[in-house]
Parts: sequence; structure tokens; C-alpha cells
Amino acid sequence: MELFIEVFSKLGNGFIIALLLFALTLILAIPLGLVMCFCTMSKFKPLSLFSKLIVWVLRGTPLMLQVFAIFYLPGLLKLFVWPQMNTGWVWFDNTFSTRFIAALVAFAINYAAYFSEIYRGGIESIPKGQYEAGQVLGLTKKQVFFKIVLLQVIKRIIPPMSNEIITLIKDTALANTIAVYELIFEAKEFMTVDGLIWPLFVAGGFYLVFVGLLTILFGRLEKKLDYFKA
Amino acid sequence: MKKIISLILTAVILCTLFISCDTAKSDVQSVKDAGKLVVGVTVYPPMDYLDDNGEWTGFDAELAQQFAETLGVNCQIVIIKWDNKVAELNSNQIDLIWNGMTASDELGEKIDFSVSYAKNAQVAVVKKGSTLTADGVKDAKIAVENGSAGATVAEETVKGTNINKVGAMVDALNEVLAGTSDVAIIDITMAQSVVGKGVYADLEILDGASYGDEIFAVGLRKGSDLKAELDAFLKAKYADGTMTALAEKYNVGLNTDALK
Repeated sequence: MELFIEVFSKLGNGFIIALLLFALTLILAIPLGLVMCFCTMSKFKPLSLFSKLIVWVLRGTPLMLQVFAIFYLPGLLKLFVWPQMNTGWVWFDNTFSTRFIAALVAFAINYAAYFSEIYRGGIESIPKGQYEAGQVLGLTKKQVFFKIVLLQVIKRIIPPMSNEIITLIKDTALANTIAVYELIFEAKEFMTVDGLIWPLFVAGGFYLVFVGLLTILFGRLEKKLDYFKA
Repeated sequence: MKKIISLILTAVILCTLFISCDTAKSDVQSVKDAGKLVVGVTVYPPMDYLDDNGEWTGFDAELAQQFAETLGVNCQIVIIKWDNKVAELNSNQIDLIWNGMTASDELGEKIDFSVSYAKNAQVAVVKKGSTLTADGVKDAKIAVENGSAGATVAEETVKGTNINKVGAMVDALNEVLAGTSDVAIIDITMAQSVVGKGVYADLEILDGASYGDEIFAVGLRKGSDLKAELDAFLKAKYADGTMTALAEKYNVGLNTDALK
């Protein structure tokens, strides 16, 4: 029983780290993806080519490698060392360790690349006629985008976005390659230190329950936007 | 207007790729400036492990804490991935690797070692009642820690044909417990400390299967000026008997010749 409590409290701590990584990645990647998307769609060739190159690299190499590179390369190339939080508040300093920050940066950039392509698909799926109709009605380009196009785009990108977001919560496990103490890291510590394998499956249960909640949430969101039927 | 914004954006992105700042400071100075000595470890009894209160303890952990004290800084022990130990050190994430590390020539090309403080060998661990003999290890399924001295022994000394490289020495023991491997090759220091007890009660050290003489040392960045301080510290702790007492407490074999 005591062991059970210990396993659950340690896995709980790991899950909090995983959730923080998940939430902060989304907060950073959703707007960053939009910026990348506009860069890719820009009519200014060097910018669009450059951002296409970035998206290619980010989508074309394993996330695990990117996490590794972002954490170790700056120090190895003598560029900079990831700053250590020093607020004196132990929980905060330990949670947002250099390892966590590096993983967060890697995740945010990687997911922004995927999001940018989803946004692009959504924006380009709106028929040209709508822009022309807006122009005829005397709306500016800005007005057409924010008042007519954007809401339809949001509705269209929700299914692919929910797919990516569900993948993200499981991808947080990759942070354990640089020893971020997230859920899988904690579960594996039970395996290496105590020779217990079942905590790993309990950890799987944590992900499963959370993905279940996300699925219900996105289902409701899709229903709510149903009145937009084209 | 749009073109100007685009140009600025491109410039900003390019600039961020070339940010650089100076990190060329002496190790002793930067440790003292930071007020802490960061020591990279894995959970590896009896050298580094957590006690019942979740505090770091063990032969290496106690020495590391004392060394930090002599420098007048705090000791921060962090768990690293053993595969990444050289990258951790060279990217300034940690200052020392102090984890019963075997000082091999191969590793010595990439990092510096302190004076050696302990002796070690590799042994084979099997399930109790296993029919495997020392001669048979070669053809058995061998589990080793990736990048460890045990892995080198399995490949070069034993010339094993079926080697499973796992993340940590305890993982290698778990492989044997689970039956996914027949034998694990790990450090004798650790084997004596855990095999036959607790969750590893069903394991035993295989008779006659002991390989190589190795030495343990602390790992430092190449050319680090911490080495002089660390060597003096280790020798002083041997001279005043502290290390001998620790060695008895944790059942570690000191490398007395090097420490004199």
C-alpha cells in the first residue's frame, strides 16, 4: 500500500511536468505556427523560401534529435548555456530547470512547424470567390481575413489540430532523453531502481485518461462550430 | 510597407542563428561564481543512490558533497542519461561526472580524469540455479549497460555473439530477472551491493566469470582547472582516513597506490 502511494505520488509529479510541458508548448506553438504560416505564404520570396526550409528541417528530422541538439549544442559550440532559474522558490526552480526550458523550446518550434502547415491548408481551402465577394462589398483585405475567412479556417482545422495535440501529450515523453523528470522518466526510475515494471503501465493509464478527456473536449468543440456547415 | 516588415523578419531570424557570447571562463571560477558544483550521476548503488528520505547518499555522493564544501559552494547532484555523459560535461550542463566511472583509454580521449580513487572489475550475474558456466557466457544472451565498461568487456573480452545494450546497469539486471537475457555483465562494486538482496534476491554472481582490472575516477572537462583541486582533495581525504572509513561503510575497494 505504501509502495502504491509512493508510485502514484511520483508519477503524479511526473504527470504535472508532462502537463506543464504540454500546455506551455501549445501556448507558444499556436501563435508561433501562425507567424511561420504567414512567412511561408509571404509573397516576398527569400522569406517564404527560408521559412519553407525551416519547416522542412523541423518536420524532416526526429523530434528526439531536435531536443538533444537544442539542449546540448549551444554549450558544445560555446555559444551560451541555458539559463538556470534562480528565484529561490525551490519548486519553481526545479520544475523550470534548464532541461525543461530546452525541451519546451524544442517542442514549441517543432509543433509550430506542423501547425503552420495545418493553418496554411485551412487558409488555402477557402474559395477565392469569398475574397472577391468581400472586395466587391468594399471590405479591405484585413477585414475579409478576420471577418469572413478566419472563423471558417478555425472550424476546418480543428480535426487535424486535435490530432496533433493528442500526439503532443505523448511526445512529451521524449523529454526524458535529456533527463527531464516527466512521467515516463519517473516510471522508468521505478524500473531501474526498484525493478518494478508495472508503474510504466500505470503511466500509460495517465496518458490514456488525459487523451480521453481531450477527445471529449474536441468533440464538443466541433459540435459547437457545427452551425457553420458550408 | 509589407516588404519592409518581411525584410526585418528575415533579418531577425538570421540574426538569432548567429547569437554568440563568451563562455571561456576557468572552471573553478565559474563554479564559485555560480555558488554550486553540479555533479552528474545515475542511480548506482553503492556509489550514488537516494536514501529513504530522498536525499543523495553513497560513496561518491558523500565525497562530492565534501568536495563542494571545500570549494565553499553547494553541491547539486543531477541525474543524467549515462549515454550523454560527455555531451553533458562539454556543454557545461554539469561540472563533474562522479558516478563510479571506469577510466578507460577510449573515454580519456574526450574528457579528463581525476586521480583514480577506487578499483573495479566486471562480473557476470545470472539467475540462481542457472546452468550457465563461465565458458558459456560467450554464447548466451548478454545484457549490458550501453557505453559502460561492461559493454566493452562483453564485446572485446568475452566476444559475445548476442549482446543487448540497455540504458543502465539495473536495466541489465532486470533483463536477467525477466528472462529476456541470460546473463548481465556489470561492475563488481554494484553486483556485491545489490545482487542476492531485495528485488534481486533471485540473482547470483557467476563463479569464475570476472573480467579485467579497472579503475574508477571522476570525469572532468578537458583541461579543466578543477582537476588540481580535486586531486589534492582526494589525496587529503585518503591521508586523513575519511576515505578508508567510507570505503568500509559502502564496501568499495580503494585504489590505494594512486591515492598515496
